[in-house]
Amino acid sequence: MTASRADLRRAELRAPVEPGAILLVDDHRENLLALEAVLDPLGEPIVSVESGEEALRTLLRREVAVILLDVRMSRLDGVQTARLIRSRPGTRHIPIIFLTAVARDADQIELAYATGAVDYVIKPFEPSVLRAKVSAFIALSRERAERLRQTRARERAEAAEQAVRTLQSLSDAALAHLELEPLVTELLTRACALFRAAGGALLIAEQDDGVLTVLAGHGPMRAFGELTPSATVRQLLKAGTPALLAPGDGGWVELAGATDQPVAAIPLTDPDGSRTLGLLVLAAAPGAGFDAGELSLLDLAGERIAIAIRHARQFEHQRELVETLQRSLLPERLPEHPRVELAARYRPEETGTRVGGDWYDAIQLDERRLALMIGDVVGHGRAAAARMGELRNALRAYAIEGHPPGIVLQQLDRLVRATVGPTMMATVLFGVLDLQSGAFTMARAGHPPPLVRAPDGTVRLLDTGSTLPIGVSGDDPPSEFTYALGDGETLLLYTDGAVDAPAEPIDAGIERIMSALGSGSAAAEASCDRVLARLLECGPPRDDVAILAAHVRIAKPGPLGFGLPAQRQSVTVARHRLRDWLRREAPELDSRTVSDLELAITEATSNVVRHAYGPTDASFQVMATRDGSMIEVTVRDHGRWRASRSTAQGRGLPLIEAVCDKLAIDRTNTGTTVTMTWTNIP
Amino acid sequence: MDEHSIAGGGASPTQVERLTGEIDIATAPQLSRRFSAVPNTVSTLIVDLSEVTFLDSAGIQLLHQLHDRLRTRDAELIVVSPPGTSPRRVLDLTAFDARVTLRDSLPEVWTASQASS
Repeated sequence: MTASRADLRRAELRAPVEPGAILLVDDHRENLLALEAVLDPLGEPIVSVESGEEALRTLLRREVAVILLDVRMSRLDGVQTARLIRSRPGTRHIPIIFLTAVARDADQIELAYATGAVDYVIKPFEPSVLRAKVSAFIALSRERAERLRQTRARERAEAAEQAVRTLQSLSDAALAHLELEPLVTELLTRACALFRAAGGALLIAEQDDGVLTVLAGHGPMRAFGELTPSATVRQLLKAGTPALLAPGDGGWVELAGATDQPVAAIPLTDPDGSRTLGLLVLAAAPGAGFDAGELSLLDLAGERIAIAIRHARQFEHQRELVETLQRSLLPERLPEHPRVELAARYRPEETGTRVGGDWYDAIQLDERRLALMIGDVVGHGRAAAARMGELRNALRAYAIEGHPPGIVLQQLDRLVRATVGPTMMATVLFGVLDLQSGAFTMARAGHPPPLVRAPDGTVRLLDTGSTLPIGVSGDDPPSEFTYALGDGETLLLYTDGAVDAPAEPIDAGIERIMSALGSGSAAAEASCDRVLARLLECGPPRDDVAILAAHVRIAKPGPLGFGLPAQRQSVTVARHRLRDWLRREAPELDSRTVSDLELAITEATSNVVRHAYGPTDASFQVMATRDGSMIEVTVRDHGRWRASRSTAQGRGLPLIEAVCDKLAIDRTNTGTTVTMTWTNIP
Repeated sequence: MDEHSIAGGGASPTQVERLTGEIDIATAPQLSRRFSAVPNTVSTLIVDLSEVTFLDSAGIQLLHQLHDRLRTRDAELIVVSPPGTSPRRVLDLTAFDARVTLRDSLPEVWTASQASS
């Protein structure tokens, strides 16, 4: 049987309300016949029984409007019967008219009233009087039944409304956070519970190709796969109203899955009616089936679910947009330099659907200088993000021009005030880190002061003078402040989202990240992890959070020294060791100078290998030192060079001479020392 | 160190030797064996140093020897080394192109050969 909502309404209108019968109870058959004859003209159904027991049984089976009860009956008499009728809630309200034979039953009449009779008639009765009385009680009973029906209808409606509210509150709560998949799983579980279904499946139309994919399955329908709807089901989807499908009905086979129960199919239509979002299929519990009266509730449930699905889709789409935008505004990767380890984190606010205005950036200005910056554009949403992007690019440009930090921020402020006007405000911290000396020179425009963690874990706040935020600054450039970062120290820049946890003063927030920074490893990555973790302990961030950490490794260059056997492979090893040392100790060297040094050591050690006396245990020593702008590399062997020189050697020495600033060869009886010097190291 | 032959006339093929990694006194012997394996039918040998990250005088010497050997049978050596690389600096410092044809890139070799034919 399929039934649409319209069918259901028609059914309600047609459904005959069984009229309450007149119940005649008398143990004399002839009395019953006489009563029937008198009451027949009323046109009401009449049920005649010959005992109190039979009367009680009848009351269980059908509606009775009025009871005519003979007082004197064998076995269960009228009074006893009336008491039993009155004692049961379902029959308590039915009016009882006692029939008595003689006036000497007066005491019984009294008793009858006491047990709840509404009237009495003394036999022999006047037919018209009896008819009038019965007729009046039937009218009363009808009225009462109507009131009762209305009350019940109201209660049903309220229950249905309550159920829908349950469903609605579920979908409403789901809108903000849940992703589509967990959402539909939850909706399905709730829908199954609500309609006492044994199982169900929620199918989603992913594309416009009509194919429905199961996103959630429950109970016997868990294993439901993909569905390419038949014409019947397509028709059902198009109609957009729920349908009940029993075994044998068109579409039942494809929708019932593993169950052999009737199913309810509820099309999920986009709230604007434009298209089918999917289909909810519920399988009835064994032996239960769905009530046609539930169709309208199923329809409402489908509406709720459709709204929730659309919102979830919009939410996912929105979040993708935000993620893309944020990704495009934050640096893809941070500069890498042997003297500093950089790490950064960005975390959007709680829902992840609002683009924040926070950003961080790091640019290698040259071999020696690294620009670090962090900022926060006031506001959220795409407008803030777009402004953040502009600000970030402008700041990059000013940074690359190489101005001091105070001037960079002043230029940024002028740009903002000239182009955007007073509607935009941002806090920015801009600093330049000298990778050779460790000096960090910075200026702040309304931005929180940075933190520095010493190698021993103590953390201090570089609370230097700050000026007003960008966009509202005065004409003076923000003052600059230089802090000399020592080897092993970690600098932490952050936006105020990092110190602004729910229900907590800012100072407590700063103390919290200070303690997070001070515990554990000094490495930038680990420091960022700890700071963020500590922040999240206080609950999801209300604002977006950006942090940028720089762990400096600027130990004074130590000398390089090693010895190797005088073999061909040692030449390669010596070159690689020098290369590693240079990378560590003189990272600012340009690649040409590095390859010159590599060439020189290769030629010098090759000479040793070529001229060593045979396959003995001859060896050579390499030393490299750096003193400011001078690098000196010496190669010493412990034998004597052969007198004869090969062509290669003839090329080797001029090459060394060509690439270094000074070459000295010192030959003694115990060995030869080649000293190569570069003097103009930047 | 992969190698492949490219189109050329049966009697006068051109072969490209694409070298990779570092060339110094330790790797030169291996390279020397590789050059020995070049067939005598090859009339133009192109040694591409584009992927070489280091070259020293041992490598230069090896290339000169290869050049001399090819010349004895009227074959030609062309060395390809892009400007700005570490090997190119060594080639320039030793005035390598005074004796051997030096090109910046493979396409330039083709262009030059088109122009001359």
